[in-house]
Amino acid sequence: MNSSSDKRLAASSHIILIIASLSCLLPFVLLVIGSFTDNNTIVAQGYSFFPEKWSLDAYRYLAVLSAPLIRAYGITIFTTVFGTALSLIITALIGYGLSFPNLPGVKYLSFFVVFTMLFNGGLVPTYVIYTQIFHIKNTIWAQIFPGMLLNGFNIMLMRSYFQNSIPASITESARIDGAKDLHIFFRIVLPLSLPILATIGLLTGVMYWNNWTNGLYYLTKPDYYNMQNILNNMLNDIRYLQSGAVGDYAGDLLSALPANSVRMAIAIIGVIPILTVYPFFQRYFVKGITIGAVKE
Amino acid sequence: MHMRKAASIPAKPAKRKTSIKRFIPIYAMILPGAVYLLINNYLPMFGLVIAFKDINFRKGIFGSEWVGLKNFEYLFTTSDAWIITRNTLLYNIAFIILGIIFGVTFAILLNEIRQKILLRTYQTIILLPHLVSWVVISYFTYAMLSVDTGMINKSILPLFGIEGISWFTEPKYWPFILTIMNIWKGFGFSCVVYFSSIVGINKEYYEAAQLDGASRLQQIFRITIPMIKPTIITLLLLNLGRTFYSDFGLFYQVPMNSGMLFSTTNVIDTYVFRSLMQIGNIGMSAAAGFYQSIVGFIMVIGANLIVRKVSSENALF
Amino acid sequence: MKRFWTLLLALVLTVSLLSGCSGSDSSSSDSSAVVSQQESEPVDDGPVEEVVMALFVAGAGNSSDVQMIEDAINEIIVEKINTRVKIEIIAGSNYSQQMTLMLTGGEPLDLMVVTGSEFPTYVGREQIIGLNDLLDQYGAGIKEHVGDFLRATSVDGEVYAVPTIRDYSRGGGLNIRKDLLDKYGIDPSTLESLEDMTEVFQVVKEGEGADFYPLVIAGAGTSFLDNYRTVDTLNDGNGVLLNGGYDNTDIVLYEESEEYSNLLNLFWDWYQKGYIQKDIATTTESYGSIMRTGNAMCWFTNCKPGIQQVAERNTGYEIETVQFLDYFSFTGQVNSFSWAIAQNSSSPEAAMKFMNLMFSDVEVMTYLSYGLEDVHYVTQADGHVGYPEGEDQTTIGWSLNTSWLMGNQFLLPNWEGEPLDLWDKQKAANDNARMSMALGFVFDNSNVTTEVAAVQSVRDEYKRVVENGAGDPAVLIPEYVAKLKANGIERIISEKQSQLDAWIANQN
Repeated sequence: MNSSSDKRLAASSHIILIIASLSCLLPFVLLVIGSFTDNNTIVAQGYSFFPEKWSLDAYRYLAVLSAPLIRAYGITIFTTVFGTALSLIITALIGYGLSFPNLPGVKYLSFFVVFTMLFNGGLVPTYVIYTQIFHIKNTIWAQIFPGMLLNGFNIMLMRSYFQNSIPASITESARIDGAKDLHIFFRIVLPLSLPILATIGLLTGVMYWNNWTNGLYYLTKPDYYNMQNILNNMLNDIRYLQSGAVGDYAGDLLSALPANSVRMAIAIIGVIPILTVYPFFQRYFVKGITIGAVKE
Repeated sequence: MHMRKAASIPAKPAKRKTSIKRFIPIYAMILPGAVYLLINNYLPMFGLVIAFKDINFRKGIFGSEWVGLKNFEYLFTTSDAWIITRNTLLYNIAFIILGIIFGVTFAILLNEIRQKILLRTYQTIILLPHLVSWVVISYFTYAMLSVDTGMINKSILPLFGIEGISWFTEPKYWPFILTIMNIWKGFGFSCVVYFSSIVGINKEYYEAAQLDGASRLQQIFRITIPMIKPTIITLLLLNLGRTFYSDFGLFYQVPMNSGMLFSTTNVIDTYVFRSLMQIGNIGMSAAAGFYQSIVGFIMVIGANLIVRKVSSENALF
Repeated sequence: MKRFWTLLLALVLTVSLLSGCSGSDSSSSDSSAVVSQQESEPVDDGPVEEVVMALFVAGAGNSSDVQMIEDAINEIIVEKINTRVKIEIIAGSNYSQQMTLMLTGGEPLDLMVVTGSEFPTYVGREQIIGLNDLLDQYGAGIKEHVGDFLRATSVDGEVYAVPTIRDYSRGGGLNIRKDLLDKYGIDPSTLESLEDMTEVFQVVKEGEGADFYPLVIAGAGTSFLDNYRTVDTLNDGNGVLLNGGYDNTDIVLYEESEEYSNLLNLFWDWYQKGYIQKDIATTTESYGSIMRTGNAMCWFTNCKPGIQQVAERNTGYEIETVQFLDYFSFTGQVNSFSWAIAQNSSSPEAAMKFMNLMFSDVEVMTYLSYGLEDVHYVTQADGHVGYPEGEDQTTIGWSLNTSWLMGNQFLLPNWEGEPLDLWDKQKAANDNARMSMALGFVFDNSNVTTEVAAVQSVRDEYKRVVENGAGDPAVLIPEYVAKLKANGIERIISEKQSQLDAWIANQN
């Protein structure tokens, strides 16, 4: 920081970020408070930072779910860790492969990848293939493979990073020294790619963590439900009943369902784990990588 | 100091035969991903025919009758066809442009933060909106905008002496509301992507610029932004494929499915959902997906061609 | 050497992908292991058939003890009909999707739930099979208990589904808080029509204050007319028969009718005077949570027998049910939920035999609806049944509380809180209701799917606003009607009329 304009920049950065953070934090705080608010107060007076009446009812209601929820947490953690790891390796490999502009057919291969982002056969044929050919229905693999393991977006991002952020001079000098491609990839390129790996790891991890549709379609027994399946079940039911599909039975069915405060509590339980884990991964967004070995 | 992109051994056409042999390890690295995409994405593509068929369960997908473009009619003959198309397009244009601006800006700002703890704190907090679903966010927006109990009508507007606005019956406010909500939910997430690119920029460039007397702001405009241009272009191209798609939760949940707002909140995805609610026609919903895909496809191909002419190394393919 | 490792790595990764995908079929081996232990000598010759029943679950209540229920049922039915059943729990929000997936995937599926709006579509695309022969052979119980109402789930003389036994008729009215009626000295027997309520609202509103809104929504997403129904909707509400179809078969566009305008003008008047909750068009609450705040008085309901107890349970207040419309019955009311046999059912005969038990066997019905005695419910001294001491819907492992979906609930003992003569009353209300002349007519919309889809979107735009009194009918009705017409509703109506006329001619 060596000039006043630099200092002003730094100060402005902090100010803007503080405002942005507050805008993200306050709604969340409101929802947390909502989960501890007496439901009648919410219905009568709306959400508030200072509710008239507090209540633990929402969490008491959810405590009943605690046994299946614990197992579901385990499932979620396993599928997230395993899925993200596997996804990262394969994505990085194919992203790196595609980053060679002189690879014969690289344009076609890239198109092959991008095309998958544009056209999709739809749920029905995907389901048929995964259940009839691969038999993943009601297995843990249903939470990992269908639709989530790779996507063109991540692959292209990886490719972009490898193409633009890894100086050619390093890989070239290694190759001249006789190193093989795989060695270059694992020993040189990957360590320099921690930021993109962390980024895509985050994107993928959050996707696995929040996914509830795979469980919905591929699991009809509760053994492999992940956390979002259990929590979202109720929210989906509410949405379905409100959509008019059951006509006038909706009133009586909905009135027996738990209240707003419970829905808040559900949302919060779903998010807290990610928030506690995320800071630990942030050190991989390392600033300023020193590439000391390179002499230009 | 000049910048070079990563490249393998420059191969001349004459060397092609040995080139392929030399690239076998690279093909091997591509193989696992390609196999997965083949199984997960290409095999199911036979399902695209559903959009053109009248599905009968006794005959199965392949035995069912072809009905040409009949399943597509409802997308075009509705009196709202223009509105939903216009809304989808305009929102997406705004979202893409603003998304890039906010994502890049915040990534740059984060890069200026020296204190590690503050950096991590900011990063974690601004990611929050992305982690929560639209259903939950809609509770929050309802808390803000509800007619009698909403915070804006009850606490904020009275400060300015303005009477309460019936937010859920006035369509004109919603382009702003939805755009703000979309940015709010996405900026913390998209800036992560740009941030990783920024972090990967060689520090030596900045050191040299500093020695030359450039201010931090100048360094941002002269070094940072140009160096992440490839990432910006890649993301832009990728997002163009979603031109006719919309984030369903945003357009359905946040406006509380209020009919009076349809003129500014109805998009293709919500229209399809609502119309097929009762009749559940599989072919018709497949047709909608097909229609959206075709448009996205044309957009990406077209944009890619343009990018190829301008700076070919940034093209997707 | 390195190249070898490269290839090996790629191979390993690819193989792990593929092998990971072909996971074991652990699920089916579980249930068959359990069941084979229970198999005693079957009564009939031949192997025991298996029937897969896809149970529709939506709303409060647990279904975690499904295996227990399945085992208990199988113990008795293997002897009776040489069949076992496998119950799959499927969330209502995903039900139609799941049925499509299971059928296109060729998975075993025999019994499925069909809602009224889906019924014509399912028949049209042959998703369910005709049942006449099966009913003749194995469905004596169904024929006896459902009887003539089977025509509401028939097309061209062939029965395609069996409606579950519940309220086949409806009579609109209001559920009103008794304490407020008492407080303001209002005698419910003097309330004969909706117009009478205007004065009631005025008195109560004056007494309770500006923050009190007497009339609230029944269920989020519904409109007043969903509950206060005066017409035969003829499946989808696109063209209806006025007066419940009792005395006419001329299909009209309800939204253009005088009756519609009159009702909506009344609602609009109430809304402007502050008698209806302000956010009725967008609220996500339903009567249960709104009533509990104490700031509301009544909501529209179908005044079927027993509704008062349901209302009291959901709100915590004593409720007076005031009925304004006589009971009438029409196709849509009867076939709103029914059971059918799927197209690729591997053994329709076994499926029909089991369905027959659902409609005629007390034991099977009790297991499905209430669970196991002393585990999920207990019998009380006066003949009622209820949750065991200290337990409630959230703590019991089988507490769906949807006996109206399981077959023939009239066979069951009454749940605590229900009047002991509830089933008799409901049966009387069903049998003695005014019947629409179109009861049994099912509209096939395959020629007008484009219009139906487009019209549905228009309804979503206007219905919940204008039919809840939240907008000026003088402005909105013309707009609404114009838009409906612009999207082809007249074509739907003319198609429907010609089908109805043909059907009537066929009846004679």
